[in-house]
Amino acid sequence: MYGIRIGPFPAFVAVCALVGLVPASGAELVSIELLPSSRTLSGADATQRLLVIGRHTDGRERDVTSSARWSVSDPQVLELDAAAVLSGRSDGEAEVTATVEGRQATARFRVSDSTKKRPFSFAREIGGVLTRRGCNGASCHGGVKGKNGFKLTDNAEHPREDYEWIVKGGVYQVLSADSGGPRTPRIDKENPENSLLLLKPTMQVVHGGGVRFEKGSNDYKKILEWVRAGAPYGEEQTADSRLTGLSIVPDLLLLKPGETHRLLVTGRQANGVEEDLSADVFYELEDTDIAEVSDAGLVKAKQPGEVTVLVRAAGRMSGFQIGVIGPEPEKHPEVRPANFIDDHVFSKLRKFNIIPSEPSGDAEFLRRVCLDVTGTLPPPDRVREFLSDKNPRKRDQLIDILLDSPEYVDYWTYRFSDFLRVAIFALGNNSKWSQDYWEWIRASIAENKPYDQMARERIAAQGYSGPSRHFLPIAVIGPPPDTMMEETRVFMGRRFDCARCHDHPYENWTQDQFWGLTAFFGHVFRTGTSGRDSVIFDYPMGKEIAPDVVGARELRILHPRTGEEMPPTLLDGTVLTHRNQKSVRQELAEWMTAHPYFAEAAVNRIWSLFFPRGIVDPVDDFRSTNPATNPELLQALAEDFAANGHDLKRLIRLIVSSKTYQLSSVTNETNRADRRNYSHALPRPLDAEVLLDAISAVTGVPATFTAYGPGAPRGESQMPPGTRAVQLRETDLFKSLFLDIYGRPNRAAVPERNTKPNLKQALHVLVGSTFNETLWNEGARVYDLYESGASDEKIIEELYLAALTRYPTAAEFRDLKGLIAKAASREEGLRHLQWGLLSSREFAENH
Amino acid sequence: MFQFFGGAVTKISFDTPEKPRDLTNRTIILLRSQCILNPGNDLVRFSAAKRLLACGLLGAAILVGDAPSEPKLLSVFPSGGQAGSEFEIRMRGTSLEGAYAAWFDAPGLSGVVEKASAIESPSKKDKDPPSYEVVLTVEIADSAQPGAHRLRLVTPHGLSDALVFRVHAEPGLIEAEREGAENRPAGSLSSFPVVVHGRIDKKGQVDDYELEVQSGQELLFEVGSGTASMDPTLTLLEPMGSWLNPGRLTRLAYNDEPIHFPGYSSDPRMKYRFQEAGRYILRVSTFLGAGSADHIYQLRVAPATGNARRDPHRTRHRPPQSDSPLWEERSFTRELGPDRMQALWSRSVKTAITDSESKESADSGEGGAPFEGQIPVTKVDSAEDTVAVTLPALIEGSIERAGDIDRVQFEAKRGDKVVLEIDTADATVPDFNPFLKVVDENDVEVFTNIHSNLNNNGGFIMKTVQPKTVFTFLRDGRFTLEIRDITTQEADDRFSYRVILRPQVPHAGAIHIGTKHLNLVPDETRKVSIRTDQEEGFNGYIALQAVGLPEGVQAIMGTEVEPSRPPPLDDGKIERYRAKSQLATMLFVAAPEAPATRMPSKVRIMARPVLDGKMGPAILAKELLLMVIRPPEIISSAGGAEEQLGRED
Repeated sequence: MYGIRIGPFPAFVAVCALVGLVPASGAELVSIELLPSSRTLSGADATQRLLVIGRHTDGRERDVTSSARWSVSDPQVLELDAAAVLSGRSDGEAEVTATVEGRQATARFRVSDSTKKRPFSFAREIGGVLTRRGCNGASCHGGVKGKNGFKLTDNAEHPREDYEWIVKGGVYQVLSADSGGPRTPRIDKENPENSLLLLKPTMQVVHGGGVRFEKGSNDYKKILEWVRAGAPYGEEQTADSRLTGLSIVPDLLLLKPGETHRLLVTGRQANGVEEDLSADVFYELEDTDIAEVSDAGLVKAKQPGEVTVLVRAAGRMSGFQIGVIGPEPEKHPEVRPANFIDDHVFSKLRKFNIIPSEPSGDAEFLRRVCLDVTGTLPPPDRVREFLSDKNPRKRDQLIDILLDSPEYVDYWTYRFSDFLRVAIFALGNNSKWSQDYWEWIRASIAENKPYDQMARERIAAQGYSGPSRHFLPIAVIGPPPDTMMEETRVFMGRRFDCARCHDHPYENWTQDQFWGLTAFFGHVFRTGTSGRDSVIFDYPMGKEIAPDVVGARELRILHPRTGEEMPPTLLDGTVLTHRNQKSVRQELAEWMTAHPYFAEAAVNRIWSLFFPRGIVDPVDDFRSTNPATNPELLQALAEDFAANGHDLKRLIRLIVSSKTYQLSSVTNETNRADRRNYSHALPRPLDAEVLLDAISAVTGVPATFTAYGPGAPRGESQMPPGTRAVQLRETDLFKSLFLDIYGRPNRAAVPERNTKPNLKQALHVLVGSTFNETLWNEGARVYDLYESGASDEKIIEELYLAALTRYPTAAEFRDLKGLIAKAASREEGLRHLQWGLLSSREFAENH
Repeated sequence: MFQFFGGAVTKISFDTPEKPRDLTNRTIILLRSQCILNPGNDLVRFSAAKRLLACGLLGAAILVGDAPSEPKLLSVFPSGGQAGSEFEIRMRGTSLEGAYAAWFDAPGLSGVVEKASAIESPSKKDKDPPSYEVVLTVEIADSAQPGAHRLRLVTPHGLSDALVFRVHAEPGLIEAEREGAENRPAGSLSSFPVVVHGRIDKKGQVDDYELEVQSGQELLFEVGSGTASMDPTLTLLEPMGSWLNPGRLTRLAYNDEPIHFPGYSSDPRMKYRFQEAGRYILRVSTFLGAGSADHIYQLRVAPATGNARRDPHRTRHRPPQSDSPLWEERSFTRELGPDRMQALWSRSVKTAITDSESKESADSGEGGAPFEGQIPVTKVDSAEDTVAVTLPALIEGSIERAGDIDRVQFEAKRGDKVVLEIDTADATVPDFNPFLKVVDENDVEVFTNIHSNLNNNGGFIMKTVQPKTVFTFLRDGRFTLEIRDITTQEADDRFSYRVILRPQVPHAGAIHIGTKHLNLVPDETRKVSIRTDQEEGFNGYIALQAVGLPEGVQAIMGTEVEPSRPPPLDDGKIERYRAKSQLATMLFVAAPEAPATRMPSKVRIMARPVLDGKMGPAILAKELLLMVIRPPEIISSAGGAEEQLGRED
């Protein structure tokens, strides 16, 4: 995806003038703000775009720059052009004032070194062009292996390497900055116009990436002049002059279709210097149907929805969101919030002109909360009891009952076993290890152990404890980078994987940070031989290592790019050393669980189990280019979670008690298309284990689970009758066709469940044993009712309550009785009734 | 038809798979390896299917080989009883036809065979020998020692292997028969202590026992497994129901075993204090729901007393002792005491050489005559300053706080040969993993008790904590011994240790004899391999002798061929952590006219170290049960052993 160019900036002013900045709603201007409020323009080439934001009586902020009248206190110092871009004329200070509808705002600017031309820098000038034109993005030449033999570093992160590749050429080699193979320079100093660096992006020769700039454009000329000048490297980029931050104003933009807004992008260097990069960055949108951003930084809203914009500058990237809101409803209902979740959710809905659905009915709530908190359908008697209960606090009381139930322990042990990966594989050969690990999780859930404590116990696990077994799903401890990636993914919600080989293409994680974190796990060992023994420890504990120790090299984590040993280094750059008395993993665990990432990753993961998506989704892929749907909600939940002892039950109670969670799945005109703002309940397919247990509960025929494989006892074995699928410890021991085709993961990696329907499921519903062979056995619910002489009405009602947690409607009663009557026999009719209910979406989904 | 090489077999036919029947197991095993491992043999030139078939046939050849069917026990039920009682037990196994006597390894236990009959085993395969059930009447005297004992059957085919038979002081019950009513409790228990004998007959079966308890009552629950295949688990449940399931049993406590670790007992054990009086459920089940007629257990419920962690039963969860009944050289649970030097010298020979070496040392001021006195004991604490010791020294301490490091200083001279030994009596691997490290004045590591080596495929480094390390100093200096747990997290007041830092004593180490019993047919020769460890530079010999042989049987020396193994990729400093060893074979020969023995003879294998032409003291290496039995054809033609041998009174 690439940014859409709509022309040079003066055109933007004209567009604004045409569109008009007076809100169609008739809202009046309340105040204005001029941005930036102050800035230093340093050097002869320095410019600064100005932005005037107006606040209106309808609560919205709009770009009113084009309707501003301007005045400059000292025109000898500053000059303002028609596009509201400032440049310095002489050293000094001056104020700029914007006036809109009688309201004024002033900003102060200083000009320094106004006659001093900035020395040429390859990193800034050429690297800037390559970034601005999207040449060095991860999907193009900035990818790990480059593209078509030409490799650049992502976002010009390593300009020296880019320079070598362009001037000398080369072929990509794994994990190395060095190029190999035949070298073909991308420039031609003898005939600069024939440089590939110019011919390709202008499509004078075939270029897979299409036209990146026109022949004769400013960027074309910049490169051409550079080659003509002998392609110097110029000023070396110093640590001080590197970009350390990129801020975008506004970071959340709310527009109506057709509205426009200019952006202000400011780069901050390590030395504190700030410069306007609004027209020198690359804007990348994930969905151009919702909005467009021009090269010059003008946003145009197209249709309702939300879209994330990635902003890439040479050496840095950031992101922001655009929300295009629908028509304003006639009346936005006042919903009394149950807790702060509702404050944040409803506040955003109001901003986006979305009306939340009505509160769910008791039956809808009962089924949803029982499945979400315990993974269990309520039995018919409890459904009758709850639906007839007139107590206004019955929902809160039910939540407390469920949270204290043994089914809660089963269900959340299962949930945690998934993402904490309780697994053994053939090479592990020790199913007792996974049992010990599972028991640790179960005990932690049963005692409601603080989540941060659980995390610390796992990250820093040593000895022969339950959590230490997580290092051994197979017989050998995994490579330190893999272990680090898993811990950070699970507990910080971040995927550092890309930074293993190169700086992260979409994030600001560097390869140095990756290997610095990896070094925390570089000394993790186990005692003994495969499948036996296996006490986990960190070795050595400092000091020198005896020269005869086998493979002393093993104890060092080497940076693949530099070949240098990496000490354990936290993300903030703090370097730790291995010591005798305390494992560095313990210190890492303490740092990780105190970091804001930890709580937000935790609440996001838990949230995702109650809604169709996380506030950030996927739940373990936090990045600026994958922003939260409701950052305020995420932050509030995280702060509340951390402030209350990382109490899981409290968090769950908070979520299910909210009005947001208890909204109906019946939509209205405004929220029908919404899938990310929690304006109504969205049906979610039951996970494989929960679905199988639900089928067993409805039919009354429990599933049987046989353990076999390398970790199982010799001979036949089978879990005791009545064992539920959510109680199975791991996937590798208990093989099940049903669970596999309904998306049970094997936990070889941190699982991402696939709940999409597939053909195998359809076939299984039609002819599979689960749906067809449990309907008419002794002990089966309907069979026993039939044998006891129950009427069709009684059986239909009982089945509805068991499967759907509601009474059948009068029409359903009538139709179903008719269908049973039409069947070849009553038995067949009742079989069909069961099959129909079990194969219905209403049964197979939580809604 | 095709040929391949490398063993005694020259031909194999796909049409006549019975052909390899006369192969010895050793030869076939070698050939099987070639099927899989040797890419150069002719076999791999054939199609994959034929290769698979060939391997399968060879595998089958092993199983249908002519090896005699030794009596083998699968289970005994009940697997024990109360002292001072007489009751019936049923033993199941193979090749038990004609069983005529029981053999116990402890006084006060006796049994009379009542009946031996063939039974159908549902899991039996065609190649399996027939199964039998033997009914015995067992009498346990009042004086019988409570605890686990070994029970074997004596049959015309010889002595069987052993099963555990537990004697208990508490009243014993048998679980209720529940055929067709599996939902019914297996029993109801209200008076403690009590022992219940039960069986998990089918896969997925659980035995639930109702418990009636008082408020504040604390009970100890433990299950002893009757057979190796039975891995029991214990769950304490409360029948309180739940909102979602009124019949739901809520788990209060669970134990599969106190700690799962290779070589440790898999018997569960747990304590629970009941806050409220009432009815609870104690569930006995098996790991992953295995079950069969041979899944026998013994449940014991007793009032809990004392500190569970210090309970003597915990020793049951330690690794099995070495084969030698008298000596453990390299085990964390051997007891190191001040008399260690005496014990070591009792397995050595004081010769002119050792004396002169000692004299040399004495002359050079390095110690004098071999030290045989009591080793002085030094107590250390990580909270205190480093303590200085002289060799030999016995250091006692414990790791009570995470990250504790206890330190002692000592001096050593170039060429000093020392030994570092540790015992961890109260808690041992994998709870307490002692890490010993000797560092020099500059804090540079000199040696440790961690053995590092590459695994067999070179894929990863293996490290093991060793109970004994030998080392020779390369220079004079003042050194510090650091004692700690290998982790920085684990600590406990049970993490006590005794470390001995001493000069080396060349001696005969552990003597390993794998065979536990022998059944010989007249005119038959069977071999027993004996591996003797040479510790701390012992370079002499070990004389071996069998004492107490029955009539017509003699023991003579033979040669041993060790199977060749690929050299290890990198064994690390193996000499520091493993003794050198010698391998010997003792051949037990029954003369053609050797009379059959009715009951097993206890043969004692004695070892004596030999050094510099002098023989040291005798050491009991092993007690071996040996029987001479009638050839199979005589047994079958005579119509059973009972007629041949009569019944013992």
